[in-house]
Amino acid sequence: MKITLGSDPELMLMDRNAGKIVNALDVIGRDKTDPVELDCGEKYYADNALFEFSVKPADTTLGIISNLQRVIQESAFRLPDHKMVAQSSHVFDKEDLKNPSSWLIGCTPSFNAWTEQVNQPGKFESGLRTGSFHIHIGMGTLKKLSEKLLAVKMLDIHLGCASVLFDQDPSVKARRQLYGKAGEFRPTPYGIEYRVLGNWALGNKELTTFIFDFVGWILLESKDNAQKIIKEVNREDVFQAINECDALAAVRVLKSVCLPDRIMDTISKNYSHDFNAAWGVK
Amino acid sequence: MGCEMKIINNQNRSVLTEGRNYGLGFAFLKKINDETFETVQPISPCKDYLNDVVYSEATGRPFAAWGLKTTKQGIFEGDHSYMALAVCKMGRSLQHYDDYDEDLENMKSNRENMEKFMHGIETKLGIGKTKLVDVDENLKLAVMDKQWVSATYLISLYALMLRVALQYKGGGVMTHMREIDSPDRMMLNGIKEKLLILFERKGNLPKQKLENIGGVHDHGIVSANFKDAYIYE
Repeated sequence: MKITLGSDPELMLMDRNAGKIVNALDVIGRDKTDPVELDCGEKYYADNALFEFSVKPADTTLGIISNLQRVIQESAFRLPDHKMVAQSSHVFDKEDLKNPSSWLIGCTPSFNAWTEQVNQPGKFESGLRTGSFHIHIGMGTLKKLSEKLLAVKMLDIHLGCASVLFDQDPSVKARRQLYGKAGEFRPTPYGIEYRVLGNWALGNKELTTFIFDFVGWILLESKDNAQKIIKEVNREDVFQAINECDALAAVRVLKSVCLPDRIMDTISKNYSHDFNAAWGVK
Repeated sequence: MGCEMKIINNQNRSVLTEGRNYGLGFAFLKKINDETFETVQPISPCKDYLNDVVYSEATGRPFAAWGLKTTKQGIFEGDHSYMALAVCKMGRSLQHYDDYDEDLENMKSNRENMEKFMHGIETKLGIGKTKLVDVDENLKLAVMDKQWVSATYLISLYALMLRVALQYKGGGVMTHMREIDSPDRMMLNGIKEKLLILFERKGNLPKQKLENIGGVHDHGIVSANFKDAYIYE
């Protein structure tokens, strides 16, 4: 079974001189209706106050990592006065959000796989803006809604809960006020967009690589047990772990699904975090 | 209305930045004469663009969002309103998507069931019945009661119901909505309570003060709050 992986990460932009996170709309001046086309075939744009780029899907982890690296390096080259920062949330000063587009919320709804409800689009009421590491997954067995829901739940139980342990970003909890709660996803014609992870993992290439590998493992190697795992898992622990960034609840969930030691060890490692170093950007 | 029906579509879908970019698409039509209609917007699976047209037509105010600019063209002045329906390939590059062939087959062969489903919903709401006309194998004309274009939440609901109707093969309308194995089931779950309110208010649906709505483009059935007295009567 072939699986394709893609992503459209959102990052903060920091003004190198001022040492301050700034509104990407003010830096790039173009949003996703008019993106900057890159030589590598990808594009970047401002998504609200965040910097976002698309990454072509690949059917191997090596492929998606290589695609990511190309976009990041070219973006960095084109934005020499600014540094990309993988931080899940930031409270912008009102002064920095003068562009009216900074207050627009996208109109494409996301959904909760556990409740099977649409997530009601909210309104920005403060300067809090968030950055995510959305993972796009394409698979022949993710056509019907029931298959998509099963996959998102499996991702929550394994990857969502694991992220509570490996994601050391102090701002990730604030992000979950707006986005990234358990079960958040968008159905796509090719599969799903999993929307739970904050962007902190992108600050370490080894961790990013693990995440893509892990997605493949979850959807391919453990798929035969999916129904049983979902039935038996303590859902309240899954929600508590992800929504409240509760490490103890996350450990309980991960222990209950008996992950192989090598995966548990990888999840539990302390990862360094330097986005530019990770992707070979000066 | 018969096989002579013609829909002129000179609109460019690639100017849009669509929130949903595949599946059943919609565009309002301007009636040129009894057999000829013309799209006033690109046929797009992103039904939120319909809200923009409804807003401009009702208020006379121009509006722009995600690549589409709308101005009042007086297209809702008769007893009926008109919409084009077509299954759209994905995005600007018009990529084939997994369910495309199934959607296209339903467009070709499922018109009667689609009408039946719409009539079931329209009866519950107290709205006049939609007529669907096959223009070609992937193009239909929907002749709709003008009440559907009186509010953004209603046109949003209308487009969602058409999308759900595409897969309807008979049986209970509510059962189909509960059991449909597509992402629209989650949209339907999300609007279930609002739908029940609308059914209860059959024939007296909440009136929307269009001049007061904010966020026109995404003020559809999902975000509508009938308790907001500033917007709803």
